Formats: sequence, structure tokens, C-alpha cells
Amino acid sequence: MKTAETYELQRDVVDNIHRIIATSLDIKDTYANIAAELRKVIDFDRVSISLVGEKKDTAITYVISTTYNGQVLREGEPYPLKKSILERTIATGRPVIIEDTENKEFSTDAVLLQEGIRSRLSVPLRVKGNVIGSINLGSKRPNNFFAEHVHLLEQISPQLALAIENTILFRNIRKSEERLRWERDKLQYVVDALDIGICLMDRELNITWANKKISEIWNLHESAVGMACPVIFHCDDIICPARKAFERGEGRFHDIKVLTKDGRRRYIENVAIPIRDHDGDVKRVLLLSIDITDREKRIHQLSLLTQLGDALQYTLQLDKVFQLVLTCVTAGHALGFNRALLFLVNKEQDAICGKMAVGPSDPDEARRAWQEVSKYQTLEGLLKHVVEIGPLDSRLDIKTKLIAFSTSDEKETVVRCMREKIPLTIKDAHNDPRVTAEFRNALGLKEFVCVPLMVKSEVTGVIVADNLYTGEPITEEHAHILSMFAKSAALAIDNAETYKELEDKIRQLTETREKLLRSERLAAIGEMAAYVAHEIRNPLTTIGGFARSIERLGANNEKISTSSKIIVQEVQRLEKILNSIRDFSKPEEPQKTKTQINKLMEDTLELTEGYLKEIGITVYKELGYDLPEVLVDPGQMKQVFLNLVKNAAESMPKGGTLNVRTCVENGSIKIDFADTGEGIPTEVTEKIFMPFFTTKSYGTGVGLALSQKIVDDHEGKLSVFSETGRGSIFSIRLPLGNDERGRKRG
Amino acid sequence: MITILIVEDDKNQCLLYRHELSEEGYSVEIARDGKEAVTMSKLNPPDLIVMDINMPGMDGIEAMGKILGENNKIPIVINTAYSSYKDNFMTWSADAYVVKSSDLMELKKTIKTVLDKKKAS
Repeated sequence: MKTAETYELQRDVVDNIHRIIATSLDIKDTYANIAAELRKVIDFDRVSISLVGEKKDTAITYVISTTYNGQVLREGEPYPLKKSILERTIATGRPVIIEDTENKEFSTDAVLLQEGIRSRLSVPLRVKGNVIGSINLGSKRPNNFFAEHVHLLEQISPQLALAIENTILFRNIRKSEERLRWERDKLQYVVDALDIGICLMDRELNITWANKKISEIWNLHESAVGMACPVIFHCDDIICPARKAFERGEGRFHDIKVLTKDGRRRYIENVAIPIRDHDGDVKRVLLLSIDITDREKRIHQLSLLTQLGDALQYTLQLDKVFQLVLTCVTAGHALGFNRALLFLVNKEQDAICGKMAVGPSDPDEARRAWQEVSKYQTLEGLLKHVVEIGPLDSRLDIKTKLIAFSTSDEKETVVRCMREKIPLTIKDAHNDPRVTAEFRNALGLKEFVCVPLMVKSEVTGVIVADNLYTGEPITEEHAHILSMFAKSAALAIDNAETYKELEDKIRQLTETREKLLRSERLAAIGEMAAYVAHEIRNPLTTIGGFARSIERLGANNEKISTSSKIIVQEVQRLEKILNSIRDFSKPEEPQKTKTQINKLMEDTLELTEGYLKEIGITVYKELGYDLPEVLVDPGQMKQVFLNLVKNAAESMPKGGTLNVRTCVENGSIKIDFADTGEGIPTEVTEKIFMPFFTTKSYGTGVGLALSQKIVDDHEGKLSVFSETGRGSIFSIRLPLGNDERGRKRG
Repeated sequence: MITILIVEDDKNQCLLYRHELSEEGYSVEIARDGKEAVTMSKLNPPDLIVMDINMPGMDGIEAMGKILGENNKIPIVINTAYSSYKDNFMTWSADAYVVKSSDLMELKKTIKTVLDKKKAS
């Protein structure tokens, strides 16, 4: 029975529901209010909204008024569309009334029956003519719903459908937004986690977006965004990969840059990738900055030994080899230590001695050295430079050369490394019992590594390396590479040493051969001279003897007397020559006694004083005060001194200066006779020690040859240095006896 | 008169010695090699022998050994062109060693000294 009151109520309810729908963003939030309004005019126990699922064969209970115990029909849960009341509503587009669920017309009926629902009403929800779902009422009583209920629901269903559609759209947008935000966050996480600097730049090469890593790599104190590409990457127009990417529009463009960071050289590869927008225009370029230092390091490590090998092939000088080895340890990325010191084993002295060091002596020098080194892009270039400039003579080098340990002194790290034949890495030199305070303080050691140089399982030396100035820790890897490197270095040093020994041997052999030739020549000449001398002496004696008789007999005949006198004089001169030849042909074995060379020199000068004064020669003496006594034959040596003084005097017929000097030098006594005479032309200096060679109209040419023979017999050396027009210096070197050297060293 | 035996293979030198030493008042005998010297000094021992060393056949050193073996009272002065024989210890048994020279002063002086020494003993 319908009254006007009822209609009014129904209209109010519809109005209220419209208002509720209009003011709600999400129908779920206001659903309870809608149900309450409906209940004012319709008697029902349950209200729900079902929607067609995303998959068209399912339906979803969008909202439901009562919470049932049932498991099947819960909010948000999909159920099969087939045989459901919604399927009918969609199919017909018309409301469906179920008078009694006991008939079980639909699959849902059985479920609802269990819940106590006996009758149902379903009204379609349409948007733009499509059924998107239905609003459903249920009652515990059968035959509860009529056409007037349908009519009421149809009044609110279009608005409700629209509101639901809006809600769904709104939710989808929010979901998309969330997903987008998540995607963005995800990208940022990835980009920040990457070890690669990434940035985007526009056509003006201004950076519009960048990750943190790019600032880190390029030493920027702030974000790269807003900066211009050339400011950050310091590249010129021609090689700029970003420019290329804009110009070409596709592909990848690479460039490698070197920069110094915390005192270490870093290699950075820039890769520019053009990015096209929807229109196919390149408006942006993505630029990646990748630190490839480690990769470069590996390459360096591999090429290090090859390069050293190449360099060493052309280097057999021991000092150069040392320097190359140490430079390899300090330069380049493979090892790159701040300092490297080389110690070599001296077997004769049972010692291990500092040979050379490469590296700065203080932080200032370190900075300068690194600047210098950074000029060389490749190790090859640096090695070449090292060979050209030669040793550096730094304070560190000098300090190192002063270090020597006994090979039995196991307290010393270097000795321990040598004896144990293994690399030692010392982390804290101050608290490590394997390091003595003396060694630590001499080199200012903190953390260092010590590796043996081995040739055929024998240790020939030790390399010590550290990072005093950068303080970079020494890793296992560093120590390992250094010992690998040490193997090649040891071989190279061994080769150079063998070569040097060979060279010494060859030189000795050449010297011996020359001496032998000289003495053989002397012996042959001597024998001949002796024979000739004897054969001449006898007739000469007779001639001279009779000449003297004649001289006496013809004393009153001036002509006879004068003539015979001339014969006597000439014979005398010939006999004098014969005497010197006789000395030369049979020089006696030296009778060596301990002699003070200075005294011999004084005697010689005293003997010749008058003679020298007569020619106008001034003598300057400079006799070493610390000259030890040496074993020489004083008579023979005096003969040599006399010869050299006489020789000097004869080169200064118009007077001059004779400087005589004695001193100890390199384990021998050096005696110089320097004159201010006319000097000796080079072609003549080669011959002056040959017997019977003379440039003088008088003299026999045996003086210097005999002098050299005597000095040779004393294991000494007689040499000459001469400058034409300025004078000559004759130098004698006499070895100090073994006992002398021993005493000096001790 | 004091007799001096000159042992010398060089004919002209013998002549010179005879000449010079005769002038000094000595009686001079000549032997032309070592063998002759040995024979002569055995037959008629001289007061002094002046002995050359390098001679054909028996040399002066060998002759000196033989002579001294027979009669070690005869003083011998070695007179040679070589100074190197000084190293030969055989020559040490001689009373003097004079290297040959056209100036016979030294030889004459040595002969005198050796004879004086002999007279004194």
C-alpha cells in the first residue's frame, strides 16, 4: 500500500543517496550511509555491489553490508560469473528478482541460502550502456522484493554506477602513481648503487640530471646538475664524445681521461649515448663516466714485465738495470709504490748492502716527482726517460747506499727476508719485532714490504718498497705482484752482473795480453841488445884503450893529442849507451823492502836539484802526509823517479815548472810528475813507452820503457796524460800491499 | 917481477892489455881461451889472473873453477863486457869483478888492490 508519505520518503531517500554519492570520492567509504538510507524504505537484510572482473568470466563482490560466516562471498573476492545472478543481469540488461533461493536458480543461491537469505533483487549498474555490475539486495524472507523496489534502485543505479566507475578510475590512477613513484625510486636506487657516474645533458651541453657518483669521480663538491659538460670533463671540442653523440645521433662515443685524485692517477672512460624522444629527435645525451683504473691496472700489470724485459734487452749496464727495476716498482699502476730500495748480497763480505733507491726524500720532493712523472702517459715513455737522465742521486739514494747488514744479523728485516726466501709485509714497523729501530728510523718506515730477489733458488738481493707519502695500504695483491716482478728483476740483475764480470775479465785479459806482449817484445829486444852490446863493447874497449895510449904518447903533439881525445870521448859516449842497454836487457828482479815513497822522492829531487836549477826549472812538491810505506825496490823505483824527472826536464829546455805530487787514491799510491813543457802529440804518446823510441837527438829511448818495465814488475801502472803546448803528466800508481789495505779497512 | 895472466880471446884486446899493463911494470902472459889458461896457470902459476868470461871452447867461469880447484891462492879478477854475471854465484869466488871499459884505470886500480891484499895476507 502506497501512500503519499511513502513516496515522499522514497524521494528523500533517493535525494540523500544522490547527495552521498556526489560528495564521496570512494563509494566504499560512504557505502554504509547508502545502505542506511535504503533501509528506510526497503526491508532487506543484506546489500552488496558486484562488479564484472577484469577477466570477463569472473565477478567480484565489490562491497557487502553484512559480514557473513561464509567463506565464499567475501569483499573483493572473485567468483565465477557463470550461472551467477550478475550473468543474467548483464545478459538481459534488466533487473532480476529471485523469489525463493530454495529454487536454486543461480550458483550463488545455494551459498546465500546457507547464510539464511531466501529472496534476492539484482539491479544492473550501467555506464555508457555497458553493465559494469549490479546492486543486490537480500532478505531472510522469501518473496520480499517487488517492482517498486526495482524502481527505487533504478533511480539511484545510474549515479551509483558512475560513482563506482569514477572510484575505480581514481584508484587506478593512484595505483599508477604509486607504481610510477616506485619505479622512479627503484631507478634512483639502481643509479646510486652503480659504480658509474651517469648524467643527462641537453643540446647546450648543460647537465640536467646526474647521480652522486659523477660528482665523486670528477671531484665536484656539489651536484653536477646545472653545470656545463666542458667544465666538468675538461675536454676540447674535437674529442668531446657528447658533442659527437648529438651530431651523429646514434651509436656510442668513447673517450678516456686521466686525472689525479688523492695523489693517485685514475683513468676515467666517458661513454656518450644519444637519446631520441618520441619524435625521433636527439634532445638529450646520456653520459656515463666509468672508472677503469683497475682495468688499466691489470693491463699494466700484464705489460709491466714485458716492458721491463724490452727495456732490459738494451741495457746491460748494472746501474741502469738497477734503476729500471726500481722505476718499475715505483712508476705505473701495476705496483706504483712511493719508494723502492734495492739491496744486494755481497758474498765475499757476507753482507747485504744498499745499492740504490728510487723515490722522493720528503713530501715536497714527492709532489714534484709526481708532477714530473705525470708527464709520461705510459710506463714505456717514463722508462725511456729514466735511461736518458741517468741516476738521480737523491738523499734517499745516498742514505740507502750507506746501509749494509751482516748476512748473519737475523734481527734485520732485510736479512730475514733474504734467509727465509719469502716476501715479508710489515704492517706496523713501530710495533713489529722483525724491524729494528735503526733500520726503521734510517728510512722513516711505517708500513712496507720486503721481497727477495732469487736466481736458481739463491737469494741475490732484496727489494724494499713502501707508500710513505700516500699512506696507501700494502695489499696482499701488491706484495704478490712485487714478488712476481722480483723474479724477472733478479734474472735481469744477474744477467747484467754476469755481463759486467765478463767485461772485467775481458779487460783484465786484454791488459795481461798487452803486458805480455810488452815483456815479450822487451825480452826479444833485450836479448838482441845484449848480444850487440857485447859484440860492440869488446872492440870499443880496444879502440878506446889504444886511443888513450896514443893520447898519452902524443901529449906533446897537439894534433895527435886532440884527435885521440875526440876518439876517447866518442867511445865514452858509446859505452854510456851500451851501459843503459845492458841495464835494460837484464833488469834485475826487484828486491822489495818497505819504503816510504816520499823519502825516495826527496832523495831524487835532492840528486837533481842542481841540474834542474841550471836549466831554470822550479820544483813544487806536494807530498801526501798519510802515505803508508809500500813494498818496492828502492833502487829501481828511484831509477824510475830519476828517469821521469830527467824526462820532464828535457821537455822544458827553456825552463818551467815541475810539480811532483804523491797521495793515496783508490787503494793505491799515486805519484804525479807534471811539467810545463811542450807536451807530447797524441800519436807520439802511444809510442813513448816502446823501447828505443825517442824524439830526442840524444838519448837511447830506453828510459821510459825501462821505467814502465820496473813499474810493471811492481804490479803498478805508469801512464801519461799530455796536452800539446801545455805540458805532460806522468803518473805512477803503486798498489798498497794487501796488509795495508786490510789495515785501512779495519 | 909480478906476473899477470890475461885470459882473453880478442887478439887486439890482448895487445892493449899487454901494452898497458907492461907499462905499469907487470910481466904479462896471454892465454887465448879457458883451456890454455888452466894449463898455463898449472905449469907456471902467475901472481894474478885477469879472466874474460865469454870465450870459445872453455869459458872463463869453467876455467876459473878448474884453476881455483888446483890452486886457490891465485887471485882472479873477472873482466867482462857483461855486468849480468855478477848474479852468477860462480863469479863470487873471484876476487874482483870489473866490467870492460876503454878506460883501463879501474882495472889497473883493482889489480893493484887485489895484489896488495894478497901481499898482506
